[in-house]
Amino acid sequence: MIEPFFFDNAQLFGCYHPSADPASTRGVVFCPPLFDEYRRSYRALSDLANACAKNGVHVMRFDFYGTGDSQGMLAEASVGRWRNDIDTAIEELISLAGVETIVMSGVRFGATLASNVSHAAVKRAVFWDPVESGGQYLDWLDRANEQFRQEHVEISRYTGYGFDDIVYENFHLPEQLKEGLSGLKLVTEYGTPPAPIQVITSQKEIAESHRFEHCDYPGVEHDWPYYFDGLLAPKPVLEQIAEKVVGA
Amino acid sequence: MKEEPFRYGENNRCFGILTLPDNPDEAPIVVALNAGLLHRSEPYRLNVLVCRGLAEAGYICARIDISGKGDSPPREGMKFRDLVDMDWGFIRQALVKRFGERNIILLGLCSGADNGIKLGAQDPLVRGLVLLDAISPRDAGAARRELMHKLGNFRKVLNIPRAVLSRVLRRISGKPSAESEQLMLRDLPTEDDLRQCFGRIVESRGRVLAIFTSHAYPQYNQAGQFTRALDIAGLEDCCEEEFWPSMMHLYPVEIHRAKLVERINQWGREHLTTLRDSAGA
Repeated sequence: MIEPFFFDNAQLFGCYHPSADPASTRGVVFCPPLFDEYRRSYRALSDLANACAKNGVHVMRFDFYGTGDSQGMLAEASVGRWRNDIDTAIEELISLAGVETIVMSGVRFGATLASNVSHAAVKRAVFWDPVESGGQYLDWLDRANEQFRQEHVEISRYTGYGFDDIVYENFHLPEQLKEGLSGLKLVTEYGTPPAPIQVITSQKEIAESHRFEHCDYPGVEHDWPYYFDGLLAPKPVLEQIAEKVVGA
Repeated sequence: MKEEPFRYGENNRCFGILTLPDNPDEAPIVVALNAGLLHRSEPYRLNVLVCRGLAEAGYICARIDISGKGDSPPREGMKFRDLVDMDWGFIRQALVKRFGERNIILLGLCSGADNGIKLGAQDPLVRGLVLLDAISPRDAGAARRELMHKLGNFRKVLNIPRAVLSRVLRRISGKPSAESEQLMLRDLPTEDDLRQCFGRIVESRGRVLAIFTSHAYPQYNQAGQFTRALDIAGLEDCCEEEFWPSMMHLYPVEIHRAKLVERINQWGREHLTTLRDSAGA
């Protein structure tokens, strides 16, 4: 059963999924994606965490400061704060479950952030569609915002009720956050001692590019576009992530 | 304001988040229901911001996950309506156990609004509703307004022959329109649900805030239509209704979300005393 709680002086919200094997000393920390991608993958990550816990791994999920159920607003968030959040979540899992080795897992920019945090207990990393650079990610967010604007233009044409000429941003990112995001890159050698990250990609092209030493494509192609409202729960991808996390 | 998880369901299988005001004594309880398939804090953290704002205004707020959504395990083989009823029984039980019997306000977007109406039809503790893109019946003038609006829209006028043709073809083939298809995905409240729910709200002198976006168009095309079409005596005195046609269903734009959060908070501040003290029907 999931144990929800607030930690870090009640600033962060987390979910602990205890391992089916209480004696297990293995853990995984899941770093969620941001913004719209968080909305679309929430249930998938909850199911994934349950699957890992059932297979003998203690799991910690959490929301970054200013996102999800955690306290604060994006206006107060920074990349430095989010990296600290990951570190705090690792410490929390160690203290809750007594784990000795941790797999770091993350989705999209959650993976990028996670790859920039080192901790002695973290031995390897399994990432789902990691974003390779913050600059690339900000461009992508700008394109998504433009997409929102276009959708509102279409709506005003459809309803005939006029167009609001406002700033069409899904989330307004403060300057310090933008700066921090733009300076961040995915670290591809990770853990103590450093080892290549394991990437699960939903883009065949990335798997075939040999950009990552360990990269698997489970055969389900999907993008993360904003303009699609549906939730993401690609079963083969989730199964493969669970397998890599649980595997020795 | 303080937040903490609370549990409900058989063997506490599910959990939600409570947002407590500085003084929770006698505060009415707002329960934010899931919007479609999204989890308790969404869309785009809307439920989190609304709950925190209303807690500042003096309400106890709970955001929850119905079975199969967010972090709640599914219930297999149950009709959606029965599943929601069963979950609501457990949620209500947990809240009553913790706070005693208090007036409840249900808040929901899309299927969350549908569920709010269905639950409000049965539960005498429900005295308030915040409905975002609920289903609205059409009133007598809806078709005329739609036509007039189309005739005043150059693009729509050009499109009339195509629209007529596709309507004829749909009628021949029996295929529903895109709008009808979307509505068919929802387990909509029945006419009886609507009458019972809002009849009860009127009798108990409760309050309703109903906001409609472009998603509700053309089914809904004028502020006031919802109250007029329901035609329940006294509803117009307790229902505030707004039409925001330039906004999208899930409020993906931050400025739109901020406006919505502020409108709900304002409504909450204005009606705190009424919603706290209103007596059962």
